[in-house]
Amino acid sequence: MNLLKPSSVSALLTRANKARILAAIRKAEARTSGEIRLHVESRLKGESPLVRAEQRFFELNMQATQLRNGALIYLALDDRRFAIFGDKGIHAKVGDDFWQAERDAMQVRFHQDDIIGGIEHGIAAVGAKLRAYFPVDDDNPNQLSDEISHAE
Amino acid sequence: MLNSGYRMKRLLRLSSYLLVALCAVVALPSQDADFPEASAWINDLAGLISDSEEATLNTMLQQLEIESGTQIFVAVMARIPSGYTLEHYVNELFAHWQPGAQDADNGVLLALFSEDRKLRIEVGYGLEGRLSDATCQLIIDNDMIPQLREGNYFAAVYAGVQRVIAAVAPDYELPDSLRVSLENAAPLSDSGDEGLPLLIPLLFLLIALSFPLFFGAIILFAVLMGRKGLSAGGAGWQRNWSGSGSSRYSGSSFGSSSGFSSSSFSGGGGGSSGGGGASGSW
Repeated sequence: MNLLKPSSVSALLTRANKARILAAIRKAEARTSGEIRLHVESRLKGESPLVRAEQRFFELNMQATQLRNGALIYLALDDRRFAIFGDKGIHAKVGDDFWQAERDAMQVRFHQDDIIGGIEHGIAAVGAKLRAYFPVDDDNPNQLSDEISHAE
Repeated sequence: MLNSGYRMKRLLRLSSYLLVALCAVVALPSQDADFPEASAWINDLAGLISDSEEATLNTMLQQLEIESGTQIFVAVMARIPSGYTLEHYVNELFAHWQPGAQDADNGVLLALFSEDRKLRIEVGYGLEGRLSDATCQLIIDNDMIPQLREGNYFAAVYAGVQRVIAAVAPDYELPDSLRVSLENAAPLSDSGDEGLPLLIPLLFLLIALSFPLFFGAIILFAVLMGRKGLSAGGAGWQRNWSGSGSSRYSGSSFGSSSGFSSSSFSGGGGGSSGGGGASGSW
């Protein structure tokens, strides 16, 4: 491994791109009690992206929302694999069809090498569902931090 | 933590599922069978800690609870029940046992699984300011894993509990009667163990000598794997103590995911944790 070469993860998560993603997350989380996070890493270790996303979800303690309405968007950049995982509260509302439709929509952008655009789309789509099913009126305590988590 | 209304609803839903299962005469294992009752502060279901050692730890944790209000539970089990990830199971066990006062959420659950060689420290939200992920990681890496690698389950739990107490209740002073010198021997009440006391200092010397090597190996491993440690947000930390470097994930029946071509995706859902999602590639 060449330590001098920036990893695909740090190449993606530039300051400007991070700002775009965080803005998308904040916008998506406005007026809903649901929470969205992004986890980016370079490679899977043999598991499927969905299994990995679920594992990361619990490692990041994202099940800590009161209504179990957190969702994690997961990317393994060098493997070019990704997953969306939603907790049981949101999953009970949207079902498999929603995840698959948004997976496909994100994939279209990923195919065009618009990784950030695909992520933004996923965040916005999940946010729309969260606002529909878990609306809040005014003061919305951010139950989880908005940070992008990554491992290189 | 979940609020009680939600938990009630979940319980109701669970019991209705169980009723349906019973009516259908389907031999489904009860989900509760995966979650033993907590019978004391130390719950050694794997039988790896002696009675006197358990008594020492129980007394210590009872004292702590009386004096500081902090409740620490320990689970020692052979295996994570099938269908659960480490994180998911320990999180659920925490929800079942509910260490700490409900309103303060000041409990800690230290769970280790001897045959899976995995452990996790789950921290109530009320204590996260004092017991951060980074601290949990240090406790696991520095104080527990070296002992676990030697098969010293009591020493690992004792050291881990000590460090957790130091973090969450710094003002609490452990009475001398409960102090166990891990450098000298096993628990104080077990003084007559033949041969062992001689071995243990040697063992510690070995561990002390292997510390730089151990960390070197971890750093090397981290560099090789290109990973950057714990990312933000988690409330616990777990590590393989086997050092095998393989995935920590023990596998579950959850969902299914894509192959490599863009047409072979499939969604998941309704798995072990009740969440759902979909995955793909590009």
